[in-house]
Amino acid sequence: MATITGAAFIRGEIYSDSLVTFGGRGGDASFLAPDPMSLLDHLPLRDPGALRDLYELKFDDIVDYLVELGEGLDLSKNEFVQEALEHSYLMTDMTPPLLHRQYSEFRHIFRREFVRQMADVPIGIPLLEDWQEVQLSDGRLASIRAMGARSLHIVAGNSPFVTAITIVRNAITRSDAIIKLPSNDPLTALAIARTMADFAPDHPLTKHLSVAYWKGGTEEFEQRLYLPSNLEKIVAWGGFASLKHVTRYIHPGLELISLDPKRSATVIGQEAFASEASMREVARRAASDMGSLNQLGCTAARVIYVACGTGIEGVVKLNHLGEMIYEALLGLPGSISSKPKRFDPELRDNIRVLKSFEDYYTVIGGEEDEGAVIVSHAGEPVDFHTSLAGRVANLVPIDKPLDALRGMSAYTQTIGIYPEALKSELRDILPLYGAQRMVSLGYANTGNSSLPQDAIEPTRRMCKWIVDESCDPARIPAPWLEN
Amino acid sequence: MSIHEDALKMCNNPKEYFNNDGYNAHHMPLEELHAMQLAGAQARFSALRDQIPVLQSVADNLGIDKVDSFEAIGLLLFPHTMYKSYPSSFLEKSRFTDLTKWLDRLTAVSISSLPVGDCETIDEWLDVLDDESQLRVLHSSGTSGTMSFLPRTKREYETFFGLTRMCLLEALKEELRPGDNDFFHVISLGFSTGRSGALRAQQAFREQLAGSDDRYHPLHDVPMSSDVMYMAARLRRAEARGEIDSLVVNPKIRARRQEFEETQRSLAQSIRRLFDEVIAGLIDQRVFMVGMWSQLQAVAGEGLARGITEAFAPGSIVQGGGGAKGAVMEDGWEDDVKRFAGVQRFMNTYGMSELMSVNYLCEDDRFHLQPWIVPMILDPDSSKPLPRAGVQTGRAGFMDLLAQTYWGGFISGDEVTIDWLPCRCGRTSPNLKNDIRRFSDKQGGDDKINCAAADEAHGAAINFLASDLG
Repeated sequence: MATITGAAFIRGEIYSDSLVTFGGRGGDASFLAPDPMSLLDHLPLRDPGALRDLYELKFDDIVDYLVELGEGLDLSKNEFVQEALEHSYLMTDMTPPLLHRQYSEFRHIFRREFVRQMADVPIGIPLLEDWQEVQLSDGRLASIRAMGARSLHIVAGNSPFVTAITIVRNAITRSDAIIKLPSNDPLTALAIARTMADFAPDHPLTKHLSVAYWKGGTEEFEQRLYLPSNLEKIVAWGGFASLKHVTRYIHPGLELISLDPKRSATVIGQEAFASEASMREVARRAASDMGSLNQLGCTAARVIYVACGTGIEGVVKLNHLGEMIYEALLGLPGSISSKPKRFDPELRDNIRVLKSFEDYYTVIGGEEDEGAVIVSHAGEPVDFHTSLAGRVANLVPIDKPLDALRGMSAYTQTIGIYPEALKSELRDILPLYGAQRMVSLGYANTGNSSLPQDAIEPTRRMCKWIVDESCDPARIPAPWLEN
Repeated sequence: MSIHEDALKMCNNPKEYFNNDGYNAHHMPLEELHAMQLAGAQARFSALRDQIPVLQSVADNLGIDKVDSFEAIGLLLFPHTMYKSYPSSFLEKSRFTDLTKWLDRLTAVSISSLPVGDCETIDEWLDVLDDESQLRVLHSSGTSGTMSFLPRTKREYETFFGLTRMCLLEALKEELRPGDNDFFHVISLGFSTGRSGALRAQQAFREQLAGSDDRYHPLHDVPMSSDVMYMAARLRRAEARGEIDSLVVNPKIRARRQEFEETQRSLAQSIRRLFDEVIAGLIDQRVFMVGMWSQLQAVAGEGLARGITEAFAPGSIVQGGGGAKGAVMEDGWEDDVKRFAGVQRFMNTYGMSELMSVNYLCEDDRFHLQPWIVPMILDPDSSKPLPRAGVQTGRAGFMDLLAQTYWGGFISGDEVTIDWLPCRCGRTSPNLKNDIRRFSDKQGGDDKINCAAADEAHGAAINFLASDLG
């Protein structure tokens, strides 16, 4: 087993002593990182006043810095990023072409117009830049400002984009971030931090990023770090296993912003069957929704509801569409989707079982762990639909699009929808049952981080919303003068 | 006698084959055991291949016509989810004709023409199967949210029950073994009757160890409804999956609400009742007490709190199994159980609904597998059988050679470590390390964080939150 040596990065300083071994994901590599206990004295920003240096920056300075950082993250030039990619092959669930593409592209998050949008859409740049006055009807003049906070980020490791977005959000909100590295991506954040230290070692934005690894649930460490005296916010992505450890530390003064694990689905209207050409178009789009990033993301389609009718004729049409989706899946370029690195053996067993019950299910593919399309003949998903992964989709026949509501739950995130007109029909209803994002079929796995996520606005929530109220007794009745 | 005849005799009637002496069953040379098990599996396969539609379909797909190697058995093992592969609406919407047709594909017994059209509940459906067929279908506890149904026959149960004493005696020290005419008062820490795997198996204790109904004392002296068990399972799953709309409850079940509430009330009182009405009369009697760990812990706790120690006569036995199943076990609970009951050893077992016999833990802390259970330890990723030699860790598969009408080969969700070498205790039978866990419990333990939800993790989280918030 290969051993990869990591390090911690705390506000501009690299820590690479007191290394201890952590088991890597899947047993391909183990990971050496500084003993978290040795970092405890340095990791928290104990003096909240130390955030003051961020307020000496103009918003444009922050944008300039991020743009320069993005240019510096070019995979063809940046040795830190190249090394992180090389080692990440051993730690990730992604296949090499997928990860390579992600690494080639995550720097685009730092493009000028994109960074500005990530601030402007959810918050508004003026509110981040300065106090914004509002004259209120009761006579008071209020000033509102979105200020930064000392935050811990428990990020998801299924894509390096998550780390990149976190770093941008931290900078534009003038916050101090401690990123807890995920065991399935322990290197990306470190490579970005090193790049920052390289081009701007003393910049306040470099000084307000820390990156370290500890195993989630390491109590003696976490109970000394997760304190309101050290942190004001914890942004926790995914993984109930890690979330459940975090919840015990949440109390007044320490807020949890939870981006819980989600699952996504698809609703396809009967219009898909208008012609062979429309079926093929729908199949390609659906394959993209289920297959992109090898279905590792929460946005990936898993159960696909199709309004083909629940009678025998409907199932025949659905089987045909299933064949087309499977074919389109295999046709996706390797940098978008490829045969998964690992296939869940339980899921493999479950698929094998269905093959013996042809009256109830049609299984297309799945012979060599390459992915599969399961067509349910009854109008209900397979029992194990919550475990669909590794490019396996379940097509479920329904009579009308609204019947898909049965499959929605509090864990439903994205719904890919076809045709476009159906989206406006469904968008007022689906959210009542749990859906959080509706998107044109085929685009489920693409996204824009300036938009709300998981039905909240994480960037807004990362800010502390402060008010300054000016009250003139001449205009507002003064409580102390009342009789 | 050829090995095939020998093997068939072992599989069809192990009690006779081993001369009703468990010592013989656990002291076969390994090579002989391998050969017998392979021949036994071959015999079962050739008899069942074209009798069980699903086995036929699996074998056809694989192009397998005979089982001449353990690799072939490995390919033919059914995933344990096979027995719950019906569309869930069959149960949710009481489609028992469809459910019967589904089950018919998993057994050599023909049941497709049984009159189940009028059944509205699982209890009613199982009544018809019990009354009108040879099947005594058992179901799982539904911890995953759905119920598995395994089509075992009355005759298979009888063969299995007949082995109870032989297996128990083998695991006991000679001086503690009851004589042929010695019976126990059986305290069984469960319901009086029911159709779950564990409750169906109670009959073995009732018949073979208690010998008469007045010596059989269940913790809950009420039958367990399979419908209630299924409802509880669905509720758990709906919670774990964050399902927003509420469950639709069958009106027939709703109508039995009063009965269930009474059951609920009697459950709340059951341990007190057990002490006041049962254990008080059994002091210094020879007792066989059996239950899940958590129940044994609760009974021992109540007994010790009442100041009762060494309650039962010498020669009494406490048998447990099933592990903690999510319950929190106190340090030293086994010692508490022994001190309360007055037994030298706590008989721990490893078993599951899909296997008829249980496997006892020996003095050297190893679970010894009965020779009619073929262990198939598989690579956890590829599901290929690991070598049948030395020490191997992997996913446990088994083939239960006692099964004559359904396919006894299946893959479990357990991670086990097997030792093929003779144990220090002297037994030569393959044995498992006392360190068995569910693969699903391992998930989430590796600190991998994804934004995509995994069901198991949610379940664990709900449990965590529930216990945390009290």
